[in-house]
Amino acid sequence: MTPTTETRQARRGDAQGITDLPMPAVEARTEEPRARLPPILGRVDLGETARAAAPLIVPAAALLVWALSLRRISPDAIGATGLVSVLPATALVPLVAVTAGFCVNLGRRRAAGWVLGLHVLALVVMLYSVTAIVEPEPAFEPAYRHVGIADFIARTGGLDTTIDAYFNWPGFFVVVALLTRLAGLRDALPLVRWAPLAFNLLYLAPLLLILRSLTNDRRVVWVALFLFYATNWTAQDYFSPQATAYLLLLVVFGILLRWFTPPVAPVPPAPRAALLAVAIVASAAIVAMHQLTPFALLAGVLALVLFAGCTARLVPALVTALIAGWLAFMTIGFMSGNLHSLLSAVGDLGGTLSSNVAARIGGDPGHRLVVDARLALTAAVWGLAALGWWRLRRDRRPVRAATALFLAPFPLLVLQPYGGEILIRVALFALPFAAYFAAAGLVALTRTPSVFRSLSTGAVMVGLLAAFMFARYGNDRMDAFSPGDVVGVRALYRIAPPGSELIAASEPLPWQYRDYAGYTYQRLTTLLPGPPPPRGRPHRPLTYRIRDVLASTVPGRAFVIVTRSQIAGDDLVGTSGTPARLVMQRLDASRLFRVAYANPDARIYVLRSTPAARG
Amino acid sequence: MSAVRTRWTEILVASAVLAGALEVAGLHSPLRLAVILWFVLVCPGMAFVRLLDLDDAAAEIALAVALSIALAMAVGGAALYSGLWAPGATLAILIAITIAAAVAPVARARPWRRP
Repeated sequence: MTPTTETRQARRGDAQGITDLPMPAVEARTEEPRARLPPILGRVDLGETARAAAPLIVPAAALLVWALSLRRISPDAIGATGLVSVLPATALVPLVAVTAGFCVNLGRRRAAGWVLGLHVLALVVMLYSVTAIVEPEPAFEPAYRHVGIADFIARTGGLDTTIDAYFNWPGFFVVVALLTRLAGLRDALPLVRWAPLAFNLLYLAPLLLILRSLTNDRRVVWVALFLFYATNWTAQDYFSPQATAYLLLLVVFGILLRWFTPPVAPVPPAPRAALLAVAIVASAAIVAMHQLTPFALLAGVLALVLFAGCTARLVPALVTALIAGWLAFMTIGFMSGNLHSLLSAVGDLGGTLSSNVAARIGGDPGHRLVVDARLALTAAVWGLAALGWWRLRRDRRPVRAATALFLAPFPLLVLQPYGGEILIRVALFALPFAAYFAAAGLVALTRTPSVFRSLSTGAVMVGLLAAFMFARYGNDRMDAFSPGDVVGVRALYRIAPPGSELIAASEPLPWQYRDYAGYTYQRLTTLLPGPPPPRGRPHRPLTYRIRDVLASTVPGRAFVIVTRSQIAGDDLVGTSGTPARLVMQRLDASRLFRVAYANPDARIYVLRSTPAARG
Repeated sequence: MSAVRTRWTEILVASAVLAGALEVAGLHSPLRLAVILWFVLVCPGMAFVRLLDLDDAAAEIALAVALSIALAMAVGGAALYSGLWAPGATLAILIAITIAAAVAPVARARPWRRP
């Protein structure tokens, strides 16, 4: 046993732990050892080779069947329950097969880490690359916007902090601008499609670092990873600053848990300083990259120092200084206009819960099923985590560090509603530790090998995966874009002269990926909030109201775009303004606007130069 | 110096040279994208992290990627805020940092392993 292994077993008290991996029995060798021959001359033992390759069969076969069964789909074909409604059974059965293979290997006395790891890897590929393969265009409107911001930096070599908040936290965009320029790309759009798979693969290493710091039991580590990926429905791993900041956050937590949180052997001064330097540099990058993640980082490191005895006591102070310094000196352009609204939301827990939960439970009945799946999945993970936490506590196992990091993000709920997304982000920040506790509970249940217990574990995991498919990809009817949506936006940039006012009827729309500062971007739901006036009540015609709110009424300089994705979004989750379908009908009949471009999925209207009297 | 560490030295230096060569050549190909992604997001950080001799591949990769992103952001951000945005020069600095750290002699009185 190396000093390293010895220390880690002692520190976590896993030697007699309930979740210990049973050691394989050493078989007595009675036969004479075979004469060693050079491999090329030795006889190939087919039985041995087959036994060695057997664990690969399930994940490899599952990946093959899954890949062969996927076909490009039209977003129009996606139902209100999302991607599941169009995926063939042959694309879903492999998920069950990998889960079954994982559980079978988990129940074996020799549960090899690499075998469990292969199953997790297959799961990650299937869960997080499916949209990249089946959907014709990259999904998520914000991803296109992020491409546009990086494009602005790459083209101008500067920042305009007055445009919006993104330019006040430009870290991610600087790296993307650098990468696109160095790689000779026109923009970062080619990176968008595969970003979720890439980020989830990148999360593997820091998650392993964290989980191996919390336990020596390989089964708990791999089950926790399986649960993390099988329940991360939050979809914050698209091409975005928060996805990158989350990666760095996991690394910082991993460093502090592994080398600075007791019980650990003392680290000599030089490597200790180097590891702390990496943690601080990564923290600084988080602060320069994203608005919310630094506060989750601060809450986490503070919780580790206060409640788990982390010896890196200066880190919370340094992170606080980094955040304060960045807000004070680097975000003046944003803060000067938004400080009041930001501060007024502090402590408004009712408003936060209303915007995060109540406002999301609406729209199409299929969408309500998706919201229910999200709530149920989160509740299930937290419920399993509570069970695991109780088991660990009952068996006097250390839980402080993981508990501290699980609970640390919850105070963020009283800070900000974060555009109705804070609950989602809190669930994401807590997920690695919830998955750890849930895994400890599940593995404790299967400590004694039993077919029933293995089946029960498998059933729980398949249930979570089923909920995940609805929760994660339930909005894909609107999140996914058709070629018509994208071609329509491309036409908009071709038709509209620079400086024009571009107005989306609703959301989402795959725009702003170029000329980010070259146009004025607006949304009718913002310009004309509230539902349209009821029939029978006298009101100014919609098209006149649209013209009234235009910043410029110069003919040929204001464009309204309506796409399939916007109509799908309104149908699925509702709208805070006039439905895009109604806008399209009114503009089609208007004499104030004319159709400048049309395809089956997109229509572009431009203000006429000589409007007729009728709207 | 262990064989693994020597191999990393060769990999890091080769990656830096290849990234620089592809940039100078101006070749438009998926190879250039792959090499640039690999170099910028892994190599500068790995050049430092391997000196810690962490004896844990997952930990090394995690720290290397985080440090590489932070370094790219720091060098690129410094150029941006100082009005000297030049991706080629930024790459040259990252290459210099990587090669310097990769070939730097490791002088430690007592080797250290992670706890």
